[in-house]
Amino acid sequence: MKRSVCLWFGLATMAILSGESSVCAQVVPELPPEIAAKLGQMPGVTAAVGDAESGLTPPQGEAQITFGPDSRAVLSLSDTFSNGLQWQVVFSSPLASENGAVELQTLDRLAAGTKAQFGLDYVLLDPKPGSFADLTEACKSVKAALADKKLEDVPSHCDDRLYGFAYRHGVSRDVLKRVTAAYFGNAYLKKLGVDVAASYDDYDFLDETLAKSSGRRTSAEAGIRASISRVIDSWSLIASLKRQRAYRNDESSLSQICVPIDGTAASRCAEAYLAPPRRIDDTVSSLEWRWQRTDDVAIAIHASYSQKDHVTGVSIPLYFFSNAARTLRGGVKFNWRNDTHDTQTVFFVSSGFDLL
Amino acid sequence: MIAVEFKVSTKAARWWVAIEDGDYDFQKPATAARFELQEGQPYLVVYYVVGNDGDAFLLTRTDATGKDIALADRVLGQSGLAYGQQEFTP
Repeated sequence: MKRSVCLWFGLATMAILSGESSVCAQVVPELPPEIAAKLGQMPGVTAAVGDAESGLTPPQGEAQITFGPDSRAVLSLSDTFSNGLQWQVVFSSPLASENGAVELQTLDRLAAGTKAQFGLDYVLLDPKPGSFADLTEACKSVKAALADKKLEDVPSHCDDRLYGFAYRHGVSRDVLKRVTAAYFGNAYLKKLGVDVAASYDDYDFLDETLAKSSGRRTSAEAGIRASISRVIDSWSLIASLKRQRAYRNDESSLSQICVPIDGTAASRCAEAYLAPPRRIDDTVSSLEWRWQRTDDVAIAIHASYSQKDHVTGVSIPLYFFSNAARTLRGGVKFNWRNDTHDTQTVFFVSSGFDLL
Repeated sequence: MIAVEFKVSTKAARWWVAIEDGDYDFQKPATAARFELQEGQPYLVVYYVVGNDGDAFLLTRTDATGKDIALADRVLGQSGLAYGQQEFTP
């Protein structure tokens, strides 16, 4: 397989409560991280909790680099509208993957090539408060904290305008956490989405006359996904089903070809594929559970099953560090599949940014 | 007990209200949320409104005569979500 320019387009990297392949929280810089992380990209909620008056959560982006047997670069862009629609575009490319390594993670056959993915989700918030006693106490705490600061023009009502004001004037995170727990303590975030993706890769092989030939093949997939997240506990359960049409080198045609070296009795031998890449149609189902333990620590367990190969792949990413501003995050991912029992460890670093 | 109706007049796509009443009720009404409440007793209502930036909304409840009384009269911010709480006595 030939790779030159490496721009990989892969699975979406979204916030822990909303994304597809990463639990890196996309923390909006002006929000308290624990709130942004918990609420993810719930339409309107992130901005409303922390910054009700200063603007819509801007379109988000995240760049991620992974290191190891499956080194790759990922760039994801996303935005959420107040009507509950959320789009995401992800570009990815392997950088220096070992043969077959890319499929180890999620049985994603398209990940072997340069890939672009577009997803559209409908996000539904089911906003149940924790308890009414907590509501009253949360508002009292915010007002008391603001009173200590002796500020002017403090909003009088117990609503998101007051809490946004409190955040902007440095009220402690513990107090704001109480607000989140009071208003969203029993809230669930539900998502239903579709995605389409395409990837291309170049393949070298020898034709019938043993002349070198190469061809570019475009693989494609379409899928549906559904998820439910409990806001206050920061866990998510995500199920997806994808139909893939991909291309691979025909391993059965791999042969050793030897040609004599002129003027000698020796031969020069090399392995080559004697057939063009073959098409593979597959359906991959997956189930994933994610949990953000703290601002900095998160874990996910992602299992995929290939109906064609009857293979299960498991991926467990651990996110355990970030810089002080939480714009840079990283961790380690362990992968395993049950047919070969291969294991893989990759390290990754990601950085979130606003597009506006 | 009297029937109290809550309404949110808005173009917003969705809104919810909940009333503290022991184990609270939570309603996602198409037009109005109706609760049977004790007259003269203070209650707390919590509301969530999802819509578009700039949408005005008016949260009201009815009194014993059926007349609407405003509980929140405001505009959705750019985030598209408003939420809050308000005490009232039917």
